[in-house]
Amino acid sequence: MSRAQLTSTTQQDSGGAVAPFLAGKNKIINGDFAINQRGFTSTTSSGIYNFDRWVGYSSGGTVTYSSQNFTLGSAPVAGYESANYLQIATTGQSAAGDDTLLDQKIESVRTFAGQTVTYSFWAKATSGTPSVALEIYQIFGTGGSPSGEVDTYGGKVTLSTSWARYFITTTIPSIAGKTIGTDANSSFIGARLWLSAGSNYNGRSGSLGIQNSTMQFWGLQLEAGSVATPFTTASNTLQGELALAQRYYQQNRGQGTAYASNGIGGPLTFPVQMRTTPTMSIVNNQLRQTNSGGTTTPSPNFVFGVDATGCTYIFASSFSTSLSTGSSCSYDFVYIASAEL
Amino acid sequence: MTYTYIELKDETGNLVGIGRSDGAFIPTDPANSDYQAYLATLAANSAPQA
Repeated sequence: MSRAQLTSTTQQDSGGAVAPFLAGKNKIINGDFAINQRGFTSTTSSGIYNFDRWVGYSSGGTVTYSSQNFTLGSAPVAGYESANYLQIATTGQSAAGDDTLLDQKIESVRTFAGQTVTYSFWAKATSGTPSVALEIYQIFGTGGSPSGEVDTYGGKVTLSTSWARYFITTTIPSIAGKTIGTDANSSFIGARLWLSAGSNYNGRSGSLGIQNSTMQFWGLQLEAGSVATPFTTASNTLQGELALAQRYYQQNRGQGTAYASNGIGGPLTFPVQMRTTPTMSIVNNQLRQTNSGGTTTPSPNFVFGVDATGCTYIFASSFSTSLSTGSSCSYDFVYIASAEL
Repeated sequence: MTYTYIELKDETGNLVGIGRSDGAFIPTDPANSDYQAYLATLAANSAPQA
């Protein structure tokens, strides 16, 4: 019997298919929910990113995704005193098309193609013994004639009301014979947890069924091999994890000089090159003349001269207050750049 | 989340991006997922109604 067979149903504290604390083994970014650039606290909306890189999708009933704090000393892994966990509460679902999902998209459909992988996480239910199912989906990108989406049901586990680590081993289909879209960096795989699934989704969720329940998650990891090695974040450092997340979303401060009453030039270079040209916005009331107490709210009809590396100008059809121009008229602002998959 | 969109053009009428109802500027980059969502909305709105 091989080592993998011997250990396939047991967490490995001493190493498995890969070194247990190796940076990069975990393809999930922000698996410990330490990065929260959006300042997420709670949402009932579907398709909204919560903690960095994590997005919840739901249909039917009311689904509440919320940030929760571990009481000091209560985190599930001794020696890893994490701050946050994610709670997902589903109520009022009953229809065949209802669902509750927790999703992370991982850049490049080449990721783990044709390989056995293990998805592990800590979880608990506030009551009962609901189950959680894993689905891996492969998206071949945009541009040209990419192959269609491939969905693979990975398995499911049953939770208890105490924190415990769960893991699901499955094989991601090969991409041999497939076609990847011509738009750079547009393909990806998705690691999706089904928390509730009406009968329309029996095939993708292992007939999970509707589950009106509250579940809590922390420490999610997707790695090569059939063994769940000890949890680490993707980078294994806090700053590294922030940089990984900023490839897809960043909220930072920029500065530039007004060259017209409705334009600012030379604003910023992104701290991390983004996946692709990002969607841009300025946080309301966060555009102001430097060293001035006033704020100017930009009109919604503004244009950014932006690419994946930064932004050369901001132009608006009008600002609520005209900008002062001249070499000394510097403006600073808080911007949001999003290049999520 | 449902958004409305407007096309943003320069003084010569060239499309430079898409304005979204939450104030965001969406570049016309085919790999940008917000631009993909805009195109999908555009296609759905122009499709014949059943």
